[in-house]
Amino acid sequence: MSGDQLRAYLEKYNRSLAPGNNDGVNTDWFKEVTRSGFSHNHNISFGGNNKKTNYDASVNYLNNEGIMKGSALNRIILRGNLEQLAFNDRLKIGVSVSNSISNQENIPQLVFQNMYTYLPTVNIKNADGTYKEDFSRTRNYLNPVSLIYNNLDHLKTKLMLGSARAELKIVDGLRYTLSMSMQDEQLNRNIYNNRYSGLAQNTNGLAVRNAYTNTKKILETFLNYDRTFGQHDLKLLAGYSWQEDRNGDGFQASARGFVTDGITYNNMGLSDPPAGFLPDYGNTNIKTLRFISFYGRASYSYADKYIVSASLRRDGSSAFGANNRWGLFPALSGAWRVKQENFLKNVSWLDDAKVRVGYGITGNARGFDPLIAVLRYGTEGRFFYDNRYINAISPLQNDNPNLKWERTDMLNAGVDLSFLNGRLNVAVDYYVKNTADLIWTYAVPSTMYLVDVLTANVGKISNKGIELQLDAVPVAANGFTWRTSLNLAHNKNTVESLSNSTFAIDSIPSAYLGGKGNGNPSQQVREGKPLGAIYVAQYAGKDANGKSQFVKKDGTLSIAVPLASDYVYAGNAQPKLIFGWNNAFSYRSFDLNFFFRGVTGNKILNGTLANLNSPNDGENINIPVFSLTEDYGDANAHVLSTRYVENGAYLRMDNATIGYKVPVHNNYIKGLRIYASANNVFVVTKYRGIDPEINMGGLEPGVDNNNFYPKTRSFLLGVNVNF
Amino acid sequence: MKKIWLIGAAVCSVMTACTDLDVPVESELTSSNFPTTQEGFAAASGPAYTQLASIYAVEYWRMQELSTDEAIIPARGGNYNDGGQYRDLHKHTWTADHTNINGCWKWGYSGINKCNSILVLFERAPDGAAKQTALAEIRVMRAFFHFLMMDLYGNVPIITKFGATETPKQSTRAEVFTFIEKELKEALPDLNDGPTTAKNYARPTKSMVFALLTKMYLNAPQYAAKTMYPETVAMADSVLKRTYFSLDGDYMSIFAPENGPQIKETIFAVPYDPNYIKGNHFTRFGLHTSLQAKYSIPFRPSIALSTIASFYQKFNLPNDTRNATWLAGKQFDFSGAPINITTTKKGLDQTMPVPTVVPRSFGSWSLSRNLPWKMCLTWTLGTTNWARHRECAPSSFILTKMPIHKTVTRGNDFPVLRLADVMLMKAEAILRGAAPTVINGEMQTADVLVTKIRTRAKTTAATGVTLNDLLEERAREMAWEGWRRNDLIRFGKFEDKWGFKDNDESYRRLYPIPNNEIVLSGGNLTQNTGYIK
Repeated sequence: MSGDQLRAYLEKYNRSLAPGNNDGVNTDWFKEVTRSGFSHNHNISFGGNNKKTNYDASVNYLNNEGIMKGSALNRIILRGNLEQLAFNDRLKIGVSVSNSISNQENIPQLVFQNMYTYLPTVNIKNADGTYKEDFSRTRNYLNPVSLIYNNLDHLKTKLMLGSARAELKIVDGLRYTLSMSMQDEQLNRNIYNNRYSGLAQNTNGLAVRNAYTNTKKILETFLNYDRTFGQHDLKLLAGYSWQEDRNGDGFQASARGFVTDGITYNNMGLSDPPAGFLPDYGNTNIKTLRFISFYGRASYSYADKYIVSASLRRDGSSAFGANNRWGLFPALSGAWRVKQENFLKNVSWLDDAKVRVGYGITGNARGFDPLIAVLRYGTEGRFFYDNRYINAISPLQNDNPNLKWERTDMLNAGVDLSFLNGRLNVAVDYYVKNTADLIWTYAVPSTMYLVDVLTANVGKISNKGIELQLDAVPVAANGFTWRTSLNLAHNKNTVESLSNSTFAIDSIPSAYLGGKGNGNPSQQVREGKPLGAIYVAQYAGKDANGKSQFVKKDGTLSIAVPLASDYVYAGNAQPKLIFGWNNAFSYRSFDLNFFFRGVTGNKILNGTLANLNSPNDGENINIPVFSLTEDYGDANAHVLSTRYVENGAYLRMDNATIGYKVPVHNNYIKGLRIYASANNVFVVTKYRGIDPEINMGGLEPGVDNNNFYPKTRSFLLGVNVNF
Repeated sequence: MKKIWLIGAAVCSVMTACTDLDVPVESELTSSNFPTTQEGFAAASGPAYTQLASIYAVEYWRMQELSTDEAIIPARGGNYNDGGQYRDLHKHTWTADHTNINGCWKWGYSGINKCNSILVLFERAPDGAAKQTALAEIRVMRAFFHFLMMDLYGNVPIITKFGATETPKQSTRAEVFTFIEKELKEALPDLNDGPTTAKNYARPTKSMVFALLTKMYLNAPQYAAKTMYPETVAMADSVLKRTYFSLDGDYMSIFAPENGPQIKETIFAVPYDPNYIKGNHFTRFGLHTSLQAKYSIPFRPSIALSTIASFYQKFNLPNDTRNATWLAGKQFDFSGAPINITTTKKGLDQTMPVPTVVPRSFGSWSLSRNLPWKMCLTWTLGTTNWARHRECAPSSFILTKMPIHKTVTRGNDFPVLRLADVMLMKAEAILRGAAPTVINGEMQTADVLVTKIRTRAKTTAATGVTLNDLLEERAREMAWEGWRRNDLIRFGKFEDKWGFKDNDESYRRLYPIPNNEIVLSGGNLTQNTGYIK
């Protein structure tokens, strides 16, 4: 609401703002903290080759002003590649190096919430030029403009990537490849909250600096054998790979109490903290994850008509308990190119026809702490011991030495068809995917575990779906071409079971959104339902006094806060259809491309709106325009209910690009193209939130909670020059 | 071809082994390096205490106090509504989804599990008296967490094994009572005895067990459906015989920011420190914003806690030093000048026509008890800006018993069990039928014991003390110390009306088991009687 709207709303209900909260103004906080960002990106690359040597190198510079004031990114990337042939061209050796340096300026997360909730009725600054603040308020009520200008958060990232690759032809058809790469990432984060910052009140400036290194090493080595004997074609592959990620090597320190804000975080030695101050050393630990795979694959095809392929991998991950580290994952597939059969060979309108079928098992070992299998300890506050306050050291995480590979077996079958000299291509795929021993962090009874969540293998989930891909060239004449491609996907997700040897339950509460004293879950992972099943109170409109009513378990209506046991199934987050549609037109030197995508048939729980729609907070914080029609006294308007379960369907024009190849006849310039493009051009949706495109991963998809970051629309002008 | 395999083999040997998945744990403590030293074992025992301190003085305290007439968090013109969680505690309308009911269950069982894991760790400690003492202390802490859970929820699981693989089995309140009693008695021989020192302060000692058993036995009718008044007196006497405990002459010193091992009366406390053990928020939640300047508090306190008029009126004894623990009436700064606030009269009273918003300075801002309360749209005591500053217009008093400490989190240790409580418990057991006993040559009747408390408070002696007088004395002496719910239930007064509360459902003597825990238990936990299943 604007200041005037809020004042009028409160007046209507015989309410008023406290004098300190009403300067009689209309401050648009959103406008005050956002801007049209301007960015530029330059790329220069060159390369060359002679018979034995290939090289190329590039420089890329990006400068990006964020749409939020105070946020920015600049980055420079250098790349170089060199490839050399030796031993009669039997050996190919390549080396590449890439280095990037980026500087990022971030703003405090609280800006996003406060640009919606900070009262529009107050001035940005006091008469004396300081920012207007009310530090007596709870719930992180802080002036968003002040948050931007009184806090620094700088992140510098240096990323070095080097790799080497050798490929040796041993005999005809037999090749050996060895590649090694190493990545070293250095992160330096520097934070300073100055003496006026609401984030560090009464500290006279708070500085936090940290520096961490993450490294990744990969070794991969494999042998290929490709041989064709008449109609028979054989491809064999055997390999080994080794990967180690080591993250979090570094430290953090903090200091407070500076005589000036002028040096910000740059000299913590000048701090003068109060007695008893403890520097914040952070809690980042070194975490190492090692992955090893042995793998082999054999493919055979006869007359390019019958194709069979089989593979086997043995994967090991250090993250699992000693007995469960290794998993064996086979796969088998076959294809039949029907077109090659005699009865179709002469059908001229059909270019190609292929039937495919495959079955395979894959493993997942990601999505949890690499040190899950061992019981780990860490400090957990301090306690009085022998007249001192010493660190208490406690187990930090429930160990799960039985954690094992998550396994997905998948059966898929498909048909590829090509018609009219390739002008129309159709691919249809059907799949059945069953995931067992699902790895996730579950809520567990606090009577059983140290921590009330546990990462474990629980449950089975199935996905069945069909996908259709259409590529066509409807027009190609007189220099004009239209290419279009359409992708449609339908998937049915079901939680098949949740029980294992420890758990014998049929549902797990999830998606605890918090806010306003709400400690209840808003989703359930429940057998027979898909992931993202929303369970909330059933909204039954307003009563005669304008109070929100909810249906209780016994069917009666009540204006009281509903219980978790009153909650009903209110749809799920899984879309019935996901689609994408791309169109490319070209006419002589012009080209035009636009891409649509969207989903339909899904529900979104709009927790962001629910939490903001709290009319009787209107004396304290700003409330959305949505609340104008709510009764001031409706204390439960914000309760998560079917009222906030919304249709999540949308159609978005994701990108549109128009380009022109400038005709150049020049010894120096070989090509010149100018183009303009726009991202996120428009979106058609009934969804009331900021963006219907929300997180769909994990076990809690389809929840929009405290999502305040505005979706950006960007326009790009570009020039490509080739010399 | 052979050559290639050699290269492959060489690469493998450089990596130490092709199949080695044992990665080093470099920056963390694991069972291979912890605990191995004396200091390590000391640190390992810490989680039992940090867990207790984490929410004892906020969320746990709210469950024991906001559900009584002793303390209230009214919504201040919409602020401190927080989903109605304070209103539900005051009006006895909480449900099994209440945020504190969830949080305290998790807190208590996490504490129990921490104790269980510490007990497993300590098996590895070198044998000796120190190990026996450490084991006994942790066993008592585990029993104490069970006591807190049993007191709040009644029928709760008993957990004695770390890493249990079965979902919890519920025990009756009486079974949990018996378990706690057995644990305390078994641990007793190995515990430290003697006066409070820096070494044993805030840790279980023999006296702490005696005081806790006194509390258990006095409440045995509620906990275990039996009366144990002579046992109550006997347990209290075990403390009273130890003459190194005595009532401190200055009542306020017990709660002062610098309180600690030197307080002769504290038997068991939860230590807090503004830097090291954060978790005491009484200044922040208890003081009005406009008092910030007066007390030079470096942050804006946020006016949450008050009491209600009927409770304040219990502080009616002449010259009682405890009367001055409340801030009430007009407020003046140290020079005697009135503290003014600027506000509007908008909506002050529905009968008062206030057409426009008129900012107005009141002569002196007052923490008053003269205006009638009204129940407004939400949980506002007075819906107005003025009310917001009147600390719940009409009836607002702030207890300064935890004297002001100039940091957001305070250094005042929170007394859990202290001598005055033991004396009052003994007096109550005598009034309920146990025989008075002679301690160190003194015949201790109820009158004698209550008079000791009154004398320290510098007010009149007690004569002819009745049970009702005793509850009134407990109100004055133990206000805001976390026992009021326990007292009211024992006296059958938890169903009385006070403030806005008129609910008299007696099943609310137990809090409900959190719904989520029932779901996660796979049906092993049954909801307490009266609550919606």
